[in-house]
Amino acid sequence: MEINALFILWIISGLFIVFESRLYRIIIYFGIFSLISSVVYLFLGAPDVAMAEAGISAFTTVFFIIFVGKYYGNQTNITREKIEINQFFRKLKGITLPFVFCAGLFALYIYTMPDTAASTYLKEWYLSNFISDVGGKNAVTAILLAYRVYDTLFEALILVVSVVAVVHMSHFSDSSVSDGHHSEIENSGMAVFTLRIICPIIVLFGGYLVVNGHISAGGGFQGGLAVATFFICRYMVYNIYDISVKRVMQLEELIFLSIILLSIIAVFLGAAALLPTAYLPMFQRAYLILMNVFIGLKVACGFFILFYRYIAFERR
Amino acid sequence: MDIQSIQYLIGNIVISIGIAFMVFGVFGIFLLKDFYPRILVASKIDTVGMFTLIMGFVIRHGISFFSGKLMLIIIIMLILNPLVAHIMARSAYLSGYEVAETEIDDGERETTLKEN
Amino acid sequence: MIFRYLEVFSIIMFFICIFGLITCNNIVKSIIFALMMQTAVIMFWLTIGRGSIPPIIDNTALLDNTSYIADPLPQALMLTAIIIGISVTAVIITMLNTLFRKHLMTDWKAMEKAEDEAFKESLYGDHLKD
Repeated sequence: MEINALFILWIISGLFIVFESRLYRIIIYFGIFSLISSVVYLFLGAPDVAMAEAGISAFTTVFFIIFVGKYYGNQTNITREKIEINQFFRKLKGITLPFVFCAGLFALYIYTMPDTAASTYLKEWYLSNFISDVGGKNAVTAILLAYRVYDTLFEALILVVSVVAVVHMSHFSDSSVSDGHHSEIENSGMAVFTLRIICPIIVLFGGYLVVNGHISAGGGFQGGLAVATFFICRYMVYNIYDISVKRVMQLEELIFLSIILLSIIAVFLGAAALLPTAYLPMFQRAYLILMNVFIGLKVACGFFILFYRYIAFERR
Repeated sequence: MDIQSIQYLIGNIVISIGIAFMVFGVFGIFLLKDFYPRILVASKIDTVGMFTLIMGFVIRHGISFFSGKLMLIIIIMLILNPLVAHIMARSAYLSGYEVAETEIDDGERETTLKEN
Repeated sequence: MIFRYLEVFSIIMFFICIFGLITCNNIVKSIIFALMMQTAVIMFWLTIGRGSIPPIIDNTALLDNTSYIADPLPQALMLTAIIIGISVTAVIITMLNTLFRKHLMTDWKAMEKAEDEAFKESLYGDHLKD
């Protein structure tokens, strides 16, 4: 019954955010909230989603901290904001009907909640067929890369589009690049020495997640996030501006094209049918590892560009 | 008493020592008021508490692939956690948070209380 | 075997987030509550398809009793949802940056007032010039 305690902790950490008025604390509580939710995902039997949530929350927290720290700095007085309970009741008049409707749906749901899963047909079909159809040992990777490739392709497309949108919408001045200003951490010899030891380990971990994505928990997206955190460490130690963003964007689009080509060749055209059956397991394994490596590279490039733009966005 | 039960016993003792370190650290965070003592105590939770806890798991599990991974985690934690405390304290000092210099002694406080 | 009441927690979390969205005045806080709502929805889907064993099949003997294995389909769908969520969040933070550079505040009401005044000025200012 430890999962109940975790769920109650989860709700308490959510309530902390509701009744907090200082922006820095809100962001740190959001990190705690994401940590607890990723642990709950793990207990519910979803290690892939837990890993993705952990990486995502790290990046979201960094983005928010960059925004608030850049514009507010140490002035926490500006960010103070009062919670008005009266305002809630005033606004509640306008939304009484939808609220009652939602509460009614909620009550109906609890009343008609089934004791077991409504239908386990798809689950059993996927679990019993994916080893012979797709190969590998991870059913989630099999669904992402073979049964529902359209989902993965469009999700990758959305990531590319969002990176392009961020690059074109953000205000970027050349002076911020040329002045070569750094984080304060660069002056601390201890931090530089330690981060230089840690950086290769992070890349190694990301590569491990990507290459072992089809036989254990992990995959292209989680490994790509781990590789992208390498760039945050690298920003603290070296000069980040020696990498050209245009080149990285071109690389990302190239990798996206190759993902599309690979999936078209392997899944939609059915290249496996042309091969002799002896080569089929090898072909399947090669397809899964290549797709994971491409997705990981693409995600790492995308998150590097996002981080770079947020850091270089009109620094002062 | 076979080897495995002795292993389990030693492992449980080490794990409880680690939890005791964590409890003292959390108690210290609430006890101390200034930022720098607090971060001193908080880094103790991360390094000492975490180290003894994971060492307890390693002893309980014996030599296997799992405990090898745990040892890797221990090494990374030992490198990274003091660094995090160092960076936090350093950035607090650089952004102008000053160390509290004077602290009233307990004897002094008692005499002032008696006078009032 | 499986207790079905765990879904109630995520629904409660969803309504807590709605409460926060109504009461907060700050844009950063609104974005964080939207992210939390997404997390609550993901949690709901994962609690529906939960199991004590993750869907990683090391040996085929596990497949004899599939009722203890977690459902892989909601997990794959939610992984997609998480990635789309972070992409949208990145664009939202960029828009927030631009807004902040224009008005120098992150308060909904004050910003609305400033926008209204700027709009009126542009409207009547042009009219007066003619």
